[in-house]
Amino acid sequence: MTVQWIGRGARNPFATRFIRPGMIPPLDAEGHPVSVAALAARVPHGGFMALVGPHGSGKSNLLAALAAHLAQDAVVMQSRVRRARDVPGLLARIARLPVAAIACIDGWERLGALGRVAVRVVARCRGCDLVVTAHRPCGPVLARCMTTPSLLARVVAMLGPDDAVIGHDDVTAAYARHAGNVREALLDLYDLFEQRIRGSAAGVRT
Amino acid sequence: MTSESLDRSRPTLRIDAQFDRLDRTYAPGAPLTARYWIAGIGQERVRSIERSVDWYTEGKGEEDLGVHFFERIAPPSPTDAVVEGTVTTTLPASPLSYEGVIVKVRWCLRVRVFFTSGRDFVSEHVFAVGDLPPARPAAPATRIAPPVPVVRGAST
Repeated sequence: MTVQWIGRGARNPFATRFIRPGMIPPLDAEGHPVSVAALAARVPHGGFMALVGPHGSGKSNLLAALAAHLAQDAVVMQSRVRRARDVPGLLARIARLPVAAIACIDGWERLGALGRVAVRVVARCRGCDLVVTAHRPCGPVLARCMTTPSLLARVVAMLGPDDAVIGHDDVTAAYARHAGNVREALLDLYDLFEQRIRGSAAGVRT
Repeated sequence: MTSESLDRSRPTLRIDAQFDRLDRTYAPGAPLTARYWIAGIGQERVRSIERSVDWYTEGKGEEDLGVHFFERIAPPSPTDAVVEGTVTTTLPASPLSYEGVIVKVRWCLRVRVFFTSGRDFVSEHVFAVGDLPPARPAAPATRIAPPVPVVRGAST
């Protein structure tokens, strides 16, 4: 989808709508594009695979891109788990999936131990594949997500803020401040962008 | 988002809009009329065009949106160089446009063109409902004096 936006004032490029999972093409740790097709080819039928990495390393983004790719040839269900209470609803959705569908679950650890067992059992009974995101290995690993300052710099370049508002030093500092958590670093840059835009609008450089 | 601009063989699609209020600021409950022009479709075949008047939130957290007016119209004739249309609606009383720091509420006229090839192009033309002032820049952090401890049983 191509988007043309015509409005007044500056638009914060770090707003959720531009950085949420699926909006930024997946990149590797150095900021190079990831071949989603190659990853999708490694998802086994009736199997379980995990995207593993720390907070804010791009797992959800990669899962969203993978799900979109897999949906070209299969029925794909996407679910973002927030808490263990989501388990009954998730089980009901998986139980309604056709055979050979793929369930993409973001936040595997939030299901809790019993929830994880139940989801695996129901998915196996339905003959469905599971692709999940997790912070630690919990089965076969499809990809390990990691970050570097170069990755964040590349993401910021893709989002395209005015260099006069957000510079390279700001990006490097945000990465260091959040210990490699790219999501938090981007939200940090959101605040910085607002501060500077509003500061300049009021004649005050903050 | 950049695939279109990289494809030099395609004419550049552009959608322009003109609102009946030049400052694009409307009172809650006011009527709105906007005209739009779609240029640069070229030889590509259009499947359908959607036009809507929407509001959405934009910021750091969860997002919300509402569709106030929606219409899907038939594809234009392949011979039309420029496609134009008009949207007329009466705006609701809320939400009001707001330029906050953490969240912004935006109203827009959205025109979306779907091509038979599967690609689509969406154009958002922002206008304001109400006249809420934007959030002020944050004041520099100040040190807050710690509370004075209260000593029980102390006589004064």
